[in-house]
Amino acid sequence: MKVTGMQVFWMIFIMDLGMTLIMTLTPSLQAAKQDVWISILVAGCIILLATVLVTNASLLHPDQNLIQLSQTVLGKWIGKVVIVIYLVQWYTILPIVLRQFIDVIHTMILPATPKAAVMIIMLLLIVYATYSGGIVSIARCSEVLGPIIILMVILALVASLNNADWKYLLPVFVDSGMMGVINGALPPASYLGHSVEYLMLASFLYQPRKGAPYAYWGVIAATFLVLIAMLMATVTMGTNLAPKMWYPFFEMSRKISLFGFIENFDPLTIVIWVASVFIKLAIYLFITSYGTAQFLKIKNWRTMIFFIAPVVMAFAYFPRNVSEATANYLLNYWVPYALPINMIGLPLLLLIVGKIRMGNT
Amino acid sequence: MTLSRILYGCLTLIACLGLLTGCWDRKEMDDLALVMASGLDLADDNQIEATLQIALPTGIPSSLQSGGKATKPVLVISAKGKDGLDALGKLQQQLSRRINLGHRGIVVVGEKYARHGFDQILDTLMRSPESRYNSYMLTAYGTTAKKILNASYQMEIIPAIGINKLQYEDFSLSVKMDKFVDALASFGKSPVSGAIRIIKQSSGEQTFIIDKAAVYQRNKLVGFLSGTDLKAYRLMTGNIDGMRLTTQMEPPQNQYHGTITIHLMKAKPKIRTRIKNGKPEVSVSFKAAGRIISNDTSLDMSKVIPLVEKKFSEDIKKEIASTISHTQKKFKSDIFSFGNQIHIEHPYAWKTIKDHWIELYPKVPVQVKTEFRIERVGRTQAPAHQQKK
Amino acid sequence: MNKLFQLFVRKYQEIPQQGEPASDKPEQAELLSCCLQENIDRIKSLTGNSSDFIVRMFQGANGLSMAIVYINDLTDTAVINDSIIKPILSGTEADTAEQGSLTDSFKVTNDMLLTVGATNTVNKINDFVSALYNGNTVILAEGWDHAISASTSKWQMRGVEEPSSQSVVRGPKDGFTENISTNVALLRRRIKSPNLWKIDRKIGLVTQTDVSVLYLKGTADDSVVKEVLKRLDRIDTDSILDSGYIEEFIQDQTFTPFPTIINSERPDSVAAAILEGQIAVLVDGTPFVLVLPITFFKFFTASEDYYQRFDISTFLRILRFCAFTISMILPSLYIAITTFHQEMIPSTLLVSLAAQREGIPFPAFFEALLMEITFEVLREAGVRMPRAIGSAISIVGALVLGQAAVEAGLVSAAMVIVVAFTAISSFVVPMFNIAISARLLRFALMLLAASLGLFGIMSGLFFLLIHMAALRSFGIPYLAPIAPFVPNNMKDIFVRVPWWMMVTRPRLFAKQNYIRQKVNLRPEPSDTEEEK
Repeated sequence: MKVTGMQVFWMIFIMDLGMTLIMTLTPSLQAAKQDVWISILVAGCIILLATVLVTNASLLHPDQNLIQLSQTVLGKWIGKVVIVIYLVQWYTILPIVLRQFIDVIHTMILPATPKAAVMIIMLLLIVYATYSGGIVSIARCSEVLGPIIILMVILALVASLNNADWKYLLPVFVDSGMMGVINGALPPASYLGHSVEYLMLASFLYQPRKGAPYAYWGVIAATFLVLIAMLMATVTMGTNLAPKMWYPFFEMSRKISLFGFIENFDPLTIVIWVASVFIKLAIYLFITSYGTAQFLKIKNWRTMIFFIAPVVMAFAYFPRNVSEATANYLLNYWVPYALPINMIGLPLLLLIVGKIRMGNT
Repeated sequence: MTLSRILYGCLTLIACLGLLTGCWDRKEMDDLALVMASGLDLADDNQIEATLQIALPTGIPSSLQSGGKATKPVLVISAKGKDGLDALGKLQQQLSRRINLGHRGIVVVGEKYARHGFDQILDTLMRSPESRYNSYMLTAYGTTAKKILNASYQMEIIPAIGINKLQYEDFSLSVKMDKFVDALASFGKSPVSGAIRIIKQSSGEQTFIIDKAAVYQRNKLVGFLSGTDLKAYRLMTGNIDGMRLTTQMEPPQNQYHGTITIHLMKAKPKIRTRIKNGKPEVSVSFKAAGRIISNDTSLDMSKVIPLVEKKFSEDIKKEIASTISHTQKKFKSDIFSFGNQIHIEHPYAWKTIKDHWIELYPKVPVQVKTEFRIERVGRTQAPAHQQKK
Repeated sequence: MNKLFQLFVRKYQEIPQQGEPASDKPEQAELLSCCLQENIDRIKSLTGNSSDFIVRMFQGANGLSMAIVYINDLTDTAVINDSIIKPILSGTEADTAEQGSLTDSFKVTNDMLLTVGATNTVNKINDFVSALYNGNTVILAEGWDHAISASTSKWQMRGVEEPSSQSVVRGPKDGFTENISTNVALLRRRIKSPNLWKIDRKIGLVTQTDVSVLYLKGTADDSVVKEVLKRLDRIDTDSILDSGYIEEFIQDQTFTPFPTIINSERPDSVAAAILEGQIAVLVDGTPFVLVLPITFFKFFTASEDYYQRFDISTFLRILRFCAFTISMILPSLYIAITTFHQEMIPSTLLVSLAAQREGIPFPAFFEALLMEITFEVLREAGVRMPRAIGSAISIVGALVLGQAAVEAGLVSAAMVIVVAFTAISSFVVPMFNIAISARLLRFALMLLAASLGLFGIMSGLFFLLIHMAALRSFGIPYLAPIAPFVPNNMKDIFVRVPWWMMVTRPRLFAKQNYIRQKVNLRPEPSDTEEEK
């Protein structure tokens, strides 16, 4: 199983873009109001920093993935603890993303369809993708879907241009202040932080040593598009309404009205959502089953898929409602724990210990 | 791989069953009651009366069923209830097709209800997944929404589409739902909406006209703008599409009335604010340009352009100033969003005044400066038909 | 799916095999004997004394008793008379030759008497028989333990005609025929290079069909050639009647709606494919030549793309992609939007669509299914029906099933338009076999659309995407050069750049020898003409 640098770019880009665009806008807007674009810039910088850490950490042993790397660098037992921390992240994000996905589909297009139907279809898709070709299939799918996602986002943005009222961006910085901007930066930063999964993907590259620029560009491109999209959402919805909506990006696309007959095209923007969630879930399912199999020394990682998929489905029922799935997980686990520990702390630890060890030998 | 085979089988089975028994959200087009417009009134017993104008596909003439007797293309029904949805539920009980609000382009609020305030409706409008932002918000002038929706309209088959097109072309004032709600939620701006009223046609049938704007203060209707006030408001929002202005240049004579009419081409309103001793001040500068389309005076347009420009400039200034003072004195409602401008230009000062901006607004001194330029005068200089001395 | 299939296969394998399998070869390894009569008797009994099986016994000029054996309908009697019987009977050279040993007489007959083009020595019974069935005439003589087979084959066949399945406005109008040697000739006429290598196989124990693999040595990937030959050699069946048999035996995956091998009736497009490093598999008895390996996007290139101006070719190519998509998803899109997402339709249009549906008893899904199946029946009838009543079908199809169904209130007029447009779109795709896959997938997508709306269509398309991402054709990823992205190949996928810009061959197929032409070939008219 080998992937190209371009494919890593697309995978990181899609993982970062779709969810950030749709899930993190509201908390950011609530904190930073019209200065949300500054928040995104800050978030982008934080994550670029994290990506630098991650790519350098993976360079310690380019042919090893996170599971092997942490054990070689940190020793058997501490390494295992680190892996468990990442496994917790992976095992929780899978059901939560699935649940968030279903919530959006429910709220926006299929209000009466039972959760199980949508969930099973999505699970079938990701299981099929992971099973049929592992990371190679997923990488190729993301290579096809990536440009489509970009196209849809740009279409939605361009079509919203005539609804834009640029005065909503003013006054700059005064209303929210430093704290507001930083608080607004954390949720998008934590969602853009999926580039940490580069640690798992790097060892599948044809040339693992040359993969870093692709990861950077993935993060930069995603940040850039999120930035533009957030700007547009702010100027079309306004700072009074947007923070009160669950999914301002979709609300923005609902306002599109062109030539008097293109109206209410939000079911089409759902493509962005379905495509990016599909890629993200598939990558995580692959990483999780591959990682778990390696961690537990199971020879055929594919058998893990059939264990993880039902577990994910059962866990996705846990959150009672949309706010538990969307807001609580984000604000109680993802931002305070996953962002500082999994995305910055542990890669830093790996990097420092690895460098010291390398220096010693 | 027996495990995977069993799983495959199960999943395929579930998927097949799901697909075959599915269709949870499926609704055929002919099972929908397509609501084209809805109206909300306050009934006498403080209940809410909802009126729906529903398109009747059977009444739409199509090529295949040509001839035959013409049936009415719309159905207008109303019911009372504790709130809008309650009334909607009652309406559903008499409809064999499911009410679908996805195509509602118009929401009309009766004057009485508007003066009473209609917050509870607004939340429903924004919360329901079916509801569109692109519906227009209208206030009924001097009547109820029910009467408006019952009025007939000749140009279009469905009257609601007639209202929709009137609003889309923006001949008077059109406000979409989200803009209305946004203004309500904002501190430095008061909402306005188009106002619709009933007129009698020469044939005796009732129809509607949109020639006014409803002014709200917070969520309550406080009055209407019409005539020059509406014109001035539109000038101030830069919405001058197809607007014409007429002025009395000379006293009327035998041969002519002494009026000049221009067609506005550009309008650039600019609001500046100042904080003086903690008190806000507003100055409005307005630049416009137009072309002369009618000259009913003895003046030769090659010579008197500066004069005409000055006259129009004064006229516009007077109209804007009087409209602003109207909103300050009569309505006490900041429809020009001066508050937002203060927020943008003086964000720190705004923090202290935003909570009592409504009380502050009527006392804010406003200066108006206007500048008018005539860019073109048409093909003739003096009126061609007049005898030259 | 694979698993299920394996279950079936296993069941068959478990049945104890009764009787001899197709491959019974006890006597065929036998050699010819020295006795002429014995040989003839053997052959006669082997062929059941079939009536078209001719044995002509005579005395050669040198007194040797000889026989020629041939099959009447496969041979050219004039050639046998003039080039075999006449020289042997009148063989003056043989007279002069000393009445020496038997080997000498064999040599003399072979080298000096026969005036036919190709001769061969056979000494086994099965070679003898296959020579006969290839239209050769076999010459036997008393005392020889081997025979001469002289090629005299001739049978009635179709000439080179314009291909019926892929026609062009501009470009060569010749098409492959049922004769493999004609087909090879058509290709060799186009590629006059010693590097065009040909490898032959005989497949089918009963039919003994000739199969040739043609490729451009030095450009095609040798490992793919080896893989093709390996897969061809694996085939052990009794009959091959069309290249379709071969295709199903050697393709990478059976359970896929997408073909992984292209077939073509046009020598020019096969030649172009060979020049790009692809491999052609020719099968005797069919004008359809297999080309492999391929990618998904190859199905959307018509050979005419390269003969017309590049701008119109680019436009047409994008049009084809759109048409393919339309033919796959338009009915499902219509179902999804009209029954799930009505808010996407402009109000006035929705009202008039609803007015059309007024009184129609079926849900939109069944309405669409009804019309689609009607159309498929019409199409199949149009293909199978005797030509003479072809116009009747169009009347029935267009008037009775279209207009009358709408007037009777069975289907809505909009649905008829949708189905008709879908049908027309499916004919735009130049390769018939990919258009078929869209035809089948359409029904699955309609079911998904009817149960889950646009989300259903989306998940169906994603399913196909995953499937295609995992699919390969002889080691080449099916979605290349999009996924994995090969920038070098993009010049001939969605756009077709002018010829002088196609400096390199597509890197996917040609593993060596990329360079096709010089770099600076852009035409630049000289200024001098202008100044005249």
